[in-house]
Amino acid sequence: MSRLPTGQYIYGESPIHLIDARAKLLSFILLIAAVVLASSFAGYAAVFCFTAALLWISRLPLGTALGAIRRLWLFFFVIFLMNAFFFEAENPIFSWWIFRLSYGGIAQGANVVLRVALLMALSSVLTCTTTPMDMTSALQSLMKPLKIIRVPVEDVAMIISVAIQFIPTLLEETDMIKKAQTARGARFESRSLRHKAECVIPLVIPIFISAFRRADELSTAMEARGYRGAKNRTKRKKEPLKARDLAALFISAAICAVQFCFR
Amino acid sequence: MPVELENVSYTYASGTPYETEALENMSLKIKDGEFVGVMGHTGCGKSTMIQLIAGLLVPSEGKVLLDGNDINAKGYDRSVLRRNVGIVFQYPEYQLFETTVEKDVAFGLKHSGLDRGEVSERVRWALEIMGFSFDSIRNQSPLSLSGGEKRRVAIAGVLAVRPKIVIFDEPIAGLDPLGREAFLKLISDLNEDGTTIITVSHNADSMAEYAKRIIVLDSGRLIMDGKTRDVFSDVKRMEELRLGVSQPRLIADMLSKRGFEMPRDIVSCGELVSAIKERLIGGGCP
Ligand SMILES: Nc1ncnc2c1ncn2[C@@H]1O[C@H](COP(=O)(O)OP(=O)(O)O)[C@@H](O)[C@H]1O
Ligand SMILES: [Mg+2]
Repeated sequence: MSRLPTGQYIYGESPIHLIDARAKLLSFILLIAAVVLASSFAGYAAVFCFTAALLWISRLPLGTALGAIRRLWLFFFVIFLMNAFFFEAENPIFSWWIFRLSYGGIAQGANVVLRVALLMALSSVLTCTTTPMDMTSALQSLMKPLKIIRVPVEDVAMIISVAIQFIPTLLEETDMIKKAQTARGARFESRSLRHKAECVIPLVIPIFISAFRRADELSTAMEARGYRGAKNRTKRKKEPLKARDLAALFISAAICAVQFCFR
Repeated sequence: MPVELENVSYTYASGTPYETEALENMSLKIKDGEFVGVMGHTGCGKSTMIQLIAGLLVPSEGKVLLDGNDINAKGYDRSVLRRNVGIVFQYPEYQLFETTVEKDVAFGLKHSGLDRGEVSERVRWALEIMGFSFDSIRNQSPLSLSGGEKRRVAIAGVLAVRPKIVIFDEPIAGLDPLGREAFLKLISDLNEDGTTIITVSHNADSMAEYAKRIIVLDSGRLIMDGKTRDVFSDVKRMEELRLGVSQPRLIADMLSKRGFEMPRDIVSCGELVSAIKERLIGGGCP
C-alpha cells in the first residue's frame, strides 16, 4: 500500500482521542442524528462549525482524514448537478428539454452534498481517533441491552473485532496479489472497463482462498490457547465515564437539540 | 535489456503520519546477463527496490530506465515492461487462481498474441523447467498440490512469459536444503541461458555460490556493490553488517590460521575445493 487506507486509527493524544469510546460512539450517533435532522441555516451552521472544530481539536492530518471526501469529488459533483437540474421546483431560472435549473434545486443539491460530506467527516473523526479494540469493547457495552432478546453480544463483538483486525492484513495481501498479477500480465493499469473487469477473478479468488486459510489458522490458534466462547472472558479494563466524556455527550446532545429549535 | 535506477527515492504513505522513506537517492545499473544478489537487513528497502525495477511502484524522485527508456514516462508502452521483466514474490503460491495448472501458467500469455500451439509449447517448457511432467500435471487443480509444488507452478507462470529479466524476492526462504539447492541450480541455469537474474536473499552461502554480483542495502541506501568475490572477501565489513560470511570462506580462514595456507579470496564451495586440491597436489601437505 503506498497510500494509507482512510479511516484507519492515527495515533494522537488530543482531547478527542482521549474521550471514552462508549461516549464517543454515542456522541457520534447523536451528531449523525443532528446532520440528518438539520433543515435550517442555523442548524447547518451549528453542525458544520462543530465538525470543523472536532477536526481542529483532534489535530488529525486533514489530507488523510478527509481523503475519502476528496477522492469522491466526482460523485459529489454529479449528485449536485442531478439535484440542481431535476429538482421539481417552481419558477426555474432556465429550462431546456428535460433540464430545469432552479434555485430550489441548487439549494437541494448543496443540501445533499453537505450532508454526505459532514457524515463522512464525522465518521472519519470517530475511526481515526479510536483504536479498533476500544471501538469493539464500546460496541459490546452499548449492545448489552440486546442480551435480553438473546443476542450473543460477546460473540458478535468478538467477530467484529477479529474482522477489524484483519482488514490491514487483507489489504496488504490484496496489494501484493494485485502486484503479482500485474507483473504477469493482468491489465489493472488499463483504463478500459473490459480489461478492469477481466482482472476481478485473478484478484478475488486468491484473496478468498487466503481469507479462508487465515480464518482456519486463527480458529485453531484460538482454540489451542483455550478459547471457549466469548461469554466468560474478562474485560481488559472497566472504567466509569469521566467528566470529559459526559461533556462530550452533553455537547453532542445540545447540537442535536438545536436542530429541533430551528425547524 | 539493461535496467538502470537514476537517483531514485521512494517514500511510503507520503504526507501522512506514517511516512517512511524506504529508498534514498539510489543509482544502479544492471546489465544483460548479470546475476545480482541483493542483501541487507529486514526493512532496508530491498523489496521496495525490486518493485521499482518491476514498475510496480513509481519512484517519488528519480527515474527507472529499461533499455534506456523511462518506464514511468507518459507515453511508455508498459506491455514492453511486463513482457521483459518478471517478478516472483516471497509467497508466489498465493497468486494461483485458475482451475487447472495449465490455465494458470498460461495466464501471462493471454495477451501475448501467440497462437494456441505456441502458448501450449511455452507452458510445457516452463513446467518442465520447474521439474514437472507436463502431461501429468496440466489438468490438476493448483489448489490440490503441496506447498512446494504450488510454489513451482507459480514460478512457472512467471517464466512462461520468457522475461529477459527475472526478479526474485527471497525465493528460498522456507525451502528445505534440498529444495533450496535445486532451486538455485535452476535460476543459475536460466542465467546461463542469458536471463538477467536479480534475487533478494539472506543466505550468504547461496549468494556466494551463485551470484556474480552482490549489492548491499542499509537503511534505504546502497552501501556495497561489487563482484561477489570482492564483497564476501571483505569479511570484516560483512560481519559488522551482520550479513554473515560464507562457510567456505570461514573454513579457508580456519585452515590458514592453523598453518595450511589458503588464498584470501575464497568465497564459494567450488573455489575452496579446488584450492585444497591444488595445495595437496602441489605437495604442500603439512
Ligand atoms: N506498504 C508500506 N507502507 C508503509 N511503509 C512500508 C510499506 N512497505 C514497506 N514499508 C517500509 O519501508 C521500508 C522498506 O521496506 P522493504 O522494502 O519491504 O524492506 P525489505 O524488503 O528490505 O525488508 C521499511 O521501513 C518498511 O517498514
Ligand atoms: Mg522484503
